[in-house]
Amino acid sequence: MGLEDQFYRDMIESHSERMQNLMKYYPFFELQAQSLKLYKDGRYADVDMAYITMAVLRFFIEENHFHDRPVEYGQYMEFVTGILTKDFELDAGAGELRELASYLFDKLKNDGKPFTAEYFDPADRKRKTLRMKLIDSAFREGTVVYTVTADAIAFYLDTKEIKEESKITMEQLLLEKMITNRNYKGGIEVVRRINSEVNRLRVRKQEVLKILSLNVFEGVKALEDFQQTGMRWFEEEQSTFLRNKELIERALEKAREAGHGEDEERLAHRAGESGSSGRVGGAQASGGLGTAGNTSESRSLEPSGSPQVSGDSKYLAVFRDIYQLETELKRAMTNHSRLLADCMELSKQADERIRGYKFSRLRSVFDFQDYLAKMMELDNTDLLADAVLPMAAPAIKKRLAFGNLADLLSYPEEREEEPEKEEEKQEVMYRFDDEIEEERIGENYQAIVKTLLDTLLTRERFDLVTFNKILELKYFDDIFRNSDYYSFLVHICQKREYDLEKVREKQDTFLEDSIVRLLAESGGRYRGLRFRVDMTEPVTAAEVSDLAGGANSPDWDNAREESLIRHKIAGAERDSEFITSNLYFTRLV
Amino acid sequence: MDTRNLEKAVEIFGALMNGEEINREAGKNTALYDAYNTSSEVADILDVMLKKLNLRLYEHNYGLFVTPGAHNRVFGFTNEELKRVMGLRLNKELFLCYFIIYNIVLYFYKDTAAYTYAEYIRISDAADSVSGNLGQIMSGLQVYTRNELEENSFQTLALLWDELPAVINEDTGEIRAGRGSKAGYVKLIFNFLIAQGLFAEVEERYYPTERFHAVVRNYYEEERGRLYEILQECSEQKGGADDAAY
Repeated sequence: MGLEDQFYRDMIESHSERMQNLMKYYPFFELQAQSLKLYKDGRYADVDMAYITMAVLRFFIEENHFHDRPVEYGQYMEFVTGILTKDFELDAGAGELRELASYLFDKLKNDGKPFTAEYFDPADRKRKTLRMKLIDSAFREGTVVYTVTADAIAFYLDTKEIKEESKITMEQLLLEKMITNRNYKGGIEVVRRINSEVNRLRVRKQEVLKILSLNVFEGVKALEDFQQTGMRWFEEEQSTFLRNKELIERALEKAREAGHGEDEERLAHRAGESGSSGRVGGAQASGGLGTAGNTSESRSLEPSGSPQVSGDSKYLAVFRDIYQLETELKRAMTNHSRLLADCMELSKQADERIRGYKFSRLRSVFDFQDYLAKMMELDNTDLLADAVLPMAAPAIKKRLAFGNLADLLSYPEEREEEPEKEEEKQEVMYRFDDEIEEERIGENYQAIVKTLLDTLLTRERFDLVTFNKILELKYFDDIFRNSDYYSFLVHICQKREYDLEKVREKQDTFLEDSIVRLLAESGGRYRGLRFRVDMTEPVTAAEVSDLAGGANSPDWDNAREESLIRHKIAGAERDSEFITSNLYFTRLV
Repeated sequence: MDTRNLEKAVEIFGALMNGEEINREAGKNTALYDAYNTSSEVADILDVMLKKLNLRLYEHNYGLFVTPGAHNRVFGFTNEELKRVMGLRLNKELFLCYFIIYNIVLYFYKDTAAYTYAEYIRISDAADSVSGNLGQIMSGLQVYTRNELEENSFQTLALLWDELPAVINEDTGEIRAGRGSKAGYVKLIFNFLIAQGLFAEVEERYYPTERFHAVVRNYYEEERGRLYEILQECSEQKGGADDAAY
């Protein structure tokens, strides 16, 4: 079936049904539109027909169904004059009020005729008329009594979810009415509504439990509300369920009696043929039937499509509707019993939670729930800030230091800040050339000084020649090719006298630094040693040239020659020599 | 006064202000906890320093925790600062956040002595709790006049909350912190609470920290009197205003 077909089918075929459904609202709007402006020169124009209609319907439902009695005219009169006086504050005489009430009653009854509305049925392509009454009348024991119609009850229930009273009970009253009027199909719809209401109550029960766990006070309120609107009616609902069940059983019985005889045999026969697995068929089922059942209450019907039994179709459709109604009602009763059990449990759980809460109230503690309830009662959310803010950690507000302004301006702008990478690097010790040389000189000086001091310890006085020999023995003649040796001689001649104790305290020359280092390493070996350095006359330039020219100059005497020293240095290619004045080292006591 | 004790107290203070954990198990700060615990002078100096700065120190489960006292203008958040921190625009949004935080506390503590033993909380739990507590107000708001609602009324919060969708991206299932949905709001709150060291997140489950327990158990019991006084004052003011209206 194409979508378009479905669309047209829905539009055309269901139009009639929709109009019938809408019809139950029609009388109300018809009545509301009729104002009382023309009645008695508009003296009662303030009387609102909408309110009167709803009030009267409620009154009829109360009397007909809650008190199970029809309404007599006198009762109606009493009720309506009451609301006219109280609610509309009419200050009219009793006669006039009765007259007005009578006028209103005629309107509500539509002068005894049903309210009618015409509509076009696209399925049959004909104009059809819908009829509906709000109030029915009947003769009973010589008196006219009035009852509210099933359509009027349906209309009334549709206008508002009834909180105060049990919706289930109200729906059941409607069901009762429908069963009595043999409107079984309508009854099925009503029972389904009852089922969904039962389910709603079960969901509500869960909600109440949840509220109880969060807030005992709110929970208790919700529980009370639930008890008022739901649990309070359970007993009554149970009894109306049973009454309706009885009604259905009676209807089934009647249906069976009506179809007794050969039909019964044929039904049994067909059930044998088609099996008894089928449940109630669809709404379009017509024609044949098959039925079987273990008990009289649980018959199963299913269409078989046999032309032979077309005459029984009406009876079978009714039978099937009753059966379906019974199944739905049983389901509703089971759900209702479950709801009852749930609510018993709810009461127990609620009691437990309330008891637990009462115990905790005895201790001196801060009650979060109580505080919240009080804040909500005062309806002031500012209080929340006081209750919540101190939970935060101390907020450390960093501010810009004034001194950092310059940094801020010169800071290079980078699109993305890159984290500094940490790499492990070997720390390199840099040694400069002069440091290396200084170290070498120091070491050499120490070696030469050590030889000098050692010699001084053994000899009281000796000259440079002797010292050279000792050095040569110790370091071979390599020492005479070492420039540090000659620089040592220069350094040692800077002072005439050396007192090692004084040198230890204060160093005047580079050489003295080396001496101190040596003294530190040698312990107390040279403690208290003092010596003097005596130098012979310095060599003049003339003497140097003389010596270079010829060995024996006439001007030279032996003494002078002894005061000079010839330093001979053996080179790799050639030997060389030079002359310096002599030095005398004398140990001082 | 021993200078060394003063130094130790200042060291503890510095660590607390830097947001460091000070407890018996926390590595480098174990010594600080011991110093506080064993030396009464250190504890006294620290208490005086904190008190003068309107800060509160709580010892809980062998750890030290500090929070700003009420209306601490230096270390506490103001409403405006919090709005900036959380990215909120309107006061009612901030109040809703407070309400959510309060509900999160309620999830773990009915009162300061009754821990519910809930191990963790999920975003949906927190949202349900808020819906539950606002539910009663909502049921009374079937018909209302928008102009008559005050900004700091719980009805305003209830309306704001009720008008939010549960989540924004139902298909992806991803919850983003923001003001667009109920879950977004709760996530926003949890991000803030994590930053404050009150919760830790593991796979969308939020576990309360020791700091949370320390603050909830101690702060509210200590400040119970003051908080109820504020309620009382508010109640009297409201009574006065109502009387004036007549």
